[in-house]
Amino acid sequence: MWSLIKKELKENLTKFIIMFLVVLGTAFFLIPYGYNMVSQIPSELFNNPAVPGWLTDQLNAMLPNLKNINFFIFSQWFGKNLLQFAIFFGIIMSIGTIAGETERKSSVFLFSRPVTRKSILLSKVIVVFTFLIISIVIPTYLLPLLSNSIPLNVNMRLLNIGLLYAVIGTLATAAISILFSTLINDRLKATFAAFAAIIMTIPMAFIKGMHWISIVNLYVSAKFFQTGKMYFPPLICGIGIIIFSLTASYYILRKKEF
Amino acid sequence: MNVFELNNVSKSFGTVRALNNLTLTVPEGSIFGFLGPNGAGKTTTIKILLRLIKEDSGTINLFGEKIDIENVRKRKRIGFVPEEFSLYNYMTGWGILHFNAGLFGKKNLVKIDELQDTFHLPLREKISTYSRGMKKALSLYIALSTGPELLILDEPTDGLDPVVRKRLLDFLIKEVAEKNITIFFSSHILSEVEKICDTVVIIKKGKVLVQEELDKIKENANLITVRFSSKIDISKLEAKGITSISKIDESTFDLKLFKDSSAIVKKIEEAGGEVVRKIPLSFEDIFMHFMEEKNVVTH
Repeated sequence: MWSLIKKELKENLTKFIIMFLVVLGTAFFLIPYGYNMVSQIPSELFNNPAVPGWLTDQLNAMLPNLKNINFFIFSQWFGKNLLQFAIFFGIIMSIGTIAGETERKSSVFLFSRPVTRKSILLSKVIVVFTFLIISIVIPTYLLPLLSNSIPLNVNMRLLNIGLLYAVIGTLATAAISILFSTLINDRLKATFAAFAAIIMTIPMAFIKGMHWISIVNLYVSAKFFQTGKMYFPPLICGIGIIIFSLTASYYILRKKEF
Repeated sequence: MNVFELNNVSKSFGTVRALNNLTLTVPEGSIFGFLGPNGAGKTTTIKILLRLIKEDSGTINLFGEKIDIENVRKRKRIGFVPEEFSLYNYMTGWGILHFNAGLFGKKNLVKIDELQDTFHLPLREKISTYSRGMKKALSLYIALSTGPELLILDEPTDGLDPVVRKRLLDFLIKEVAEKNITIFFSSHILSEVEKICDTVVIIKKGKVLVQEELDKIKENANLITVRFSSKIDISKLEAKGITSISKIDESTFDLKLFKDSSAIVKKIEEAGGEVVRKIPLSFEDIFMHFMEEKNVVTH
């Protein structure tokens, strides 16, 4: 198992470094530049007669909220930056797990060794999940550190719970991608299929009572921010997606022929 | 003891039947030649044995035990040189050897010095810099480095230049002579099989045509010239079950025989003929005979 993990670490290290630096770089810019800019916007800016009245009203209503550091982190970091990066990197990091081995024909070598298919899948999942978690957690905890230097006080409870949602959302994205990587031998096709599956959950979430189905909810947890209470359905849905996708991947992999 | 047994194994890919009730027994210590034309089902058989694909029906015993996809213990005793597989190009030669050893749960590599004396691979270099022949040799390093009891070679010399090919075959012969290792040698190159194998199975369209010791097959395969005292009608000989007849003149014929010839010689003598010449057939002739004949099964 350790040999497999070492191989996966080596194979994914470059992708991880790029991903980590991109997320870290964004985190560095978010508070000192992004928040500072928003906080310095004078309200008169929105009294420009060239801007339609309804838009002025909306911008004026939103500005005080954006000047709240906790709302800013929730809307900009979790709801925008992390949502985009995590879905993108979650797919990129995971899509090669099995499809990559099949595409480059190393699957014949790997799957003819005396290791179980469960171990092979598990080692890949461990490495991909670990890299994704590191890429989300470290830059997110950098935000309160950078805020302290301004100084601003970030509500750590909100940040921790938001982070939990984001981690589950990212891992669910990765798990869906692993499932498609097991199903489809071509990496490009698997990538499109995974993107399509994730995107399809967004309109499905508009159906009454189906709000929980979209992974996006795990990042834009407005309901949680408004009430301060944990909103469980998306979380349970995310964990369910992870368990289902990985279990299905294993059973497909067991039957897969190389 | 048999290293492995396949009993009535069948496998289809869509409408194509790759294996058709294939029954095969490979005894311990043999150098088993697995012959057949392209598409005969050789690679499919090997992949089934390694659980890379699953049979539709039939049973497979490996080292006396039924094999299962997640029961990988027995696979520790197998070394496999595939027809073609991509190794991890970013790894070095040493890197893949150690990675493979790790998967086998072994810390020490065996045979590497001996292999290096023969192939001189740049093991510190990345695999991406290796030529096709070097990658093939590296596959042999990987297969032998864990000390296997069964070495499965799937077209091991395919696409190799004559120098590397000879080195590889010579190494295998030496390996077999030194150690009691079973080799399952799949190939369509007859000269190689003839050179190193002691037992041969010939398959066609997923069906075994013959499984026999190579010497015995060759012993029974002869070209005999028979002469009759007077003119004879070929149809009379054919009626007695004598086939593969080539007419030389009105009373002289050449016959190609692939089984024990005593019964046929007796029939010829009964018809008034005598054997005037007996020449052993080449292995190529034997192979071609089985390729032409349909559904010949001798065990």
